[in-house]
Amino acid sequence: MRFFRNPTYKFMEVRKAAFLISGALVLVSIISLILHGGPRYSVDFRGGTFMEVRFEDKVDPEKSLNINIGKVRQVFDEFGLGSAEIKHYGSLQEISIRADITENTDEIFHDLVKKLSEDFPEYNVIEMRKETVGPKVGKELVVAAVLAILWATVFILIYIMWRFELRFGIGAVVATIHDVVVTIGIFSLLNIEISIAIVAALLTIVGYSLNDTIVVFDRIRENFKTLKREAFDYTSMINRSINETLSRTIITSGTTLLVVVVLYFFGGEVLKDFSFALICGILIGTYSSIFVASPILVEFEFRKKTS
Amino acid sequence: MRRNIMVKIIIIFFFLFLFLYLLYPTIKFNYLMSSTAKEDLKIEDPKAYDKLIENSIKLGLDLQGGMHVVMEVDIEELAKALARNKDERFEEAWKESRDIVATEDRDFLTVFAQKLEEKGADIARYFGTKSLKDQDEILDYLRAQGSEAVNRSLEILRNRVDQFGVAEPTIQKQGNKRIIIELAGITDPQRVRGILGQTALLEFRLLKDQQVTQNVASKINEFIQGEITETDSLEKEEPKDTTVVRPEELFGEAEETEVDTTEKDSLALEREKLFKENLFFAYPGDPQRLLVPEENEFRLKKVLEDPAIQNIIQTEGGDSEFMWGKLDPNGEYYGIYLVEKEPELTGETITDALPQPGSGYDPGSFGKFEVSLSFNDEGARIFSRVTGANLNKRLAIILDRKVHSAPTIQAKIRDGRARITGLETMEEAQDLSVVLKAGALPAPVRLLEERTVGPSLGKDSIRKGTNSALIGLLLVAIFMIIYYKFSGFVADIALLLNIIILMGVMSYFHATLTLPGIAGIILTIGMAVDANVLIFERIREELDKGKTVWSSIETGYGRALITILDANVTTLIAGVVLYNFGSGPIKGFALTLIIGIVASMFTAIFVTRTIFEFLLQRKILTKLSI
Repeated sequence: MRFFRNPTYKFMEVRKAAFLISGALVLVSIISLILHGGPRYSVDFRGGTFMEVRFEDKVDPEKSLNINIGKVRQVFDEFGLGSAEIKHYGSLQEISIRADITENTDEIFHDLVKKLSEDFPEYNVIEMRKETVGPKVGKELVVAAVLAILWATVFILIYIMWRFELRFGIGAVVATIHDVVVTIGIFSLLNIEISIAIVAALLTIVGYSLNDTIVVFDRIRENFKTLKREAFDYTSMINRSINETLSRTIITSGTTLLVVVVLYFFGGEVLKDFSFALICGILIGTYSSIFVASPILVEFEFRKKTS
Repeated sequence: MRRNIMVKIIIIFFFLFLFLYLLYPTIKFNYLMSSTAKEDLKIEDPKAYDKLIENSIKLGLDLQGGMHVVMEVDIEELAKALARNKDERFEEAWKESRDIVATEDRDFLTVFAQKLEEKGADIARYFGTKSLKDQDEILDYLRAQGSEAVNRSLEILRNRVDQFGVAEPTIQKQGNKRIIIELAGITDPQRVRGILGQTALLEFRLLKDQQVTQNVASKINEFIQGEITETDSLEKEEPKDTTVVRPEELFGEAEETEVDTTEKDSLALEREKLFKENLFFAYPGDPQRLLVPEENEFRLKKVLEDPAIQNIIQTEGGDSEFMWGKLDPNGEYYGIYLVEKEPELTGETITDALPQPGSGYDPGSFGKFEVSLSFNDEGARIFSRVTGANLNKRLAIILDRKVHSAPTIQAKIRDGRARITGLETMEEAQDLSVVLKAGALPAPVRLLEERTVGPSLGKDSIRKGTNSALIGLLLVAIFMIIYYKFSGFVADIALLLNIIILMGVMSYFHATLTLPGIAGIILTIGMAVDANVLIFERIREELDKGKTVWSSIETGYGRALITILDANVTTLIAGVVLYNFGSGPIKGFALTLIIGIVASMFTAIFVTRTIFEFLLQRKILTKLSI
């Protein structure tokens, strides 16, 4: 079985359109981030408390329930936590709570759960998870996360410059920044929180996207060597390299996407945003290695010729 | 060539068995042993049990449920607590500095000193002593107090960790003012905070006399002896009779007759399993200290809880109990002491404890180290009475129900100053003084971060994670077979081996498996086939050019190798950076990613190639189905 038999797509001919699309994606992402006042941080970074509570029927724990958020909110109002964000989490019988408090959270939530059990006497109220992060730690983590992504990019750039050439490095890094920015943009547009797990996903995307780009670059480097003696057109050489690696690009992206989609649907609520970030990243990363990284090489070549 | 391939195959099988062997404890512990079997092993052979756990992959707190807490010593509160003559200017400067460090990343003490200066207050007014006048000196002193408070908190937590009843607690220092606590199965941070917040329970209790201790010990031994032979003979005489007299009835605790024989049976059985000969020994050098081999710790603790044994202690030893001391330096024996139930004196009366070298006037302590203690007036009075009345007896210093040491009372001490002498090293003296002071002062700490995961969520996560991994693996494997036919099957073998290696390496490094770690494994499944995809695509290209199977494989693997290396190094760099950035769960993710990538290079490049070469050489394969 083969998806592509000697494909001859003219990718580089549409690079102007691709630049426009990529530019638009980045622009929309940045605008969304500006409008939302930066990424929406989870309690990991912002400080605060996150709690997950599950309701189970006392008689039949397997029975699926529909918990009325309004009724839960009333309890929170009584505790002076009206500003807390309360919503269904994963299923209708689980709720998540996000509040800005960081002091004495054990006591407060202990009392809350008790009150909830009284108000919902037919259900067992189970505390699934609770995370409290002080604002100081949150700030430190933002710095650490940004530094981590920066360092990863710098190290990889150095590696590519060593193995390839500067322009390859620039192409790869621009493509990677593009992927990270657009993924964060999608999260901002969909109003999904950036947690530590999402930062991990972003770093994985950095690695994955570069992996993809380098396979194409590697073929360009190889073809460049073998074709050097013949007269050849730079653009068509790059087209040819992308086409030669197209099968591999699609299949690897496909299998990776496959497992991540499985993780998204079967991995549980905790990993949902994480796997969603990876899904976005893999799609964008595959796109960018063909339509962002490689066209930059072509642009470099043209600039060199005209100057 | 043929021999060459056999060597490669041997290498592959060597790795396969090596990693399966490394993985075996994990499989045994998690899948092959029932919980009662685990409990039995814990009592029967604690060393084997510990080893089994140590050699298995640990589950992270997010998978088994538990609590992760980061605490910081509250330097602000500490400074306030240590200050004297506090006035309005002090309070103002303190509040303003606290507000500043809450928003800016600055050192509290520096800001505070600055604020005091602005207000024209001399810092020495609050913290100065005869020897501490200079501002820098005072700041250094406060910083030292801060780091000592961290050590004190660590010491308190370590001392009291038994109270949590956790198998493998983690209590670590992070940087110089933070403490990380990880407790599996506990989901109530309040308890940790409560335990840290209260002052340590320091007690001085008299040791029971030598004869009493020995007497109790031999009575307990006799009882255990009797218990063992009795069950033996019972089993021999009437192996099938379940209504025979049980030990409970012999000792008059179980009054009900034949209520539920099966339940009682299992209870009795549990109890019988506990008893074993030689649980402890007398120690000739110190007749008041019984030695307990380290592996008997758990068993003896249970035995001592037994009502019958309790009874023996009460009748023979009077109002007393056994208390555990420290493990000896070789890690072989614990000491246990029979002590009075009532403490003579408690720690609130201690005002200071200082480590110092032994004094030269005293031949017994010369060259050794000691801790000098000061008591307040009340403490001094009681101490004087107790030491006067109990000359030449031994007084155990007990912190949080653990015997720290049991020195002999050499003289009546009237002035409220005592020395604990005969310590071998300065570190020992320092540790002891920290412990003694720990009883005197609560450590001002605040929670920076706490994460608790309930056990049901953990179980849920494991189930969902495992399911996703299996489904993902299956889908990828099926796809590979459909797309690459037989070669896809070979790649699937490599994939399977990849996972075995990944898990085996994790076992070997005693790595912790977290939920993001499972995600990392799943991602690895998707990405691991990449190397094989690269190779297979290359081989197809070569075949298209009309090359032979042999040379296509040769060139395919050769050309793809460079690509695979370059491409994987970048992901590896991202993984390593992530490992250094992340905490707990994220580290788990990075680790699985890193191991997975390295393993995938080995399996894709070396293993699949060997399989192809072997099959082609043996003519099992003449055409390549790819």
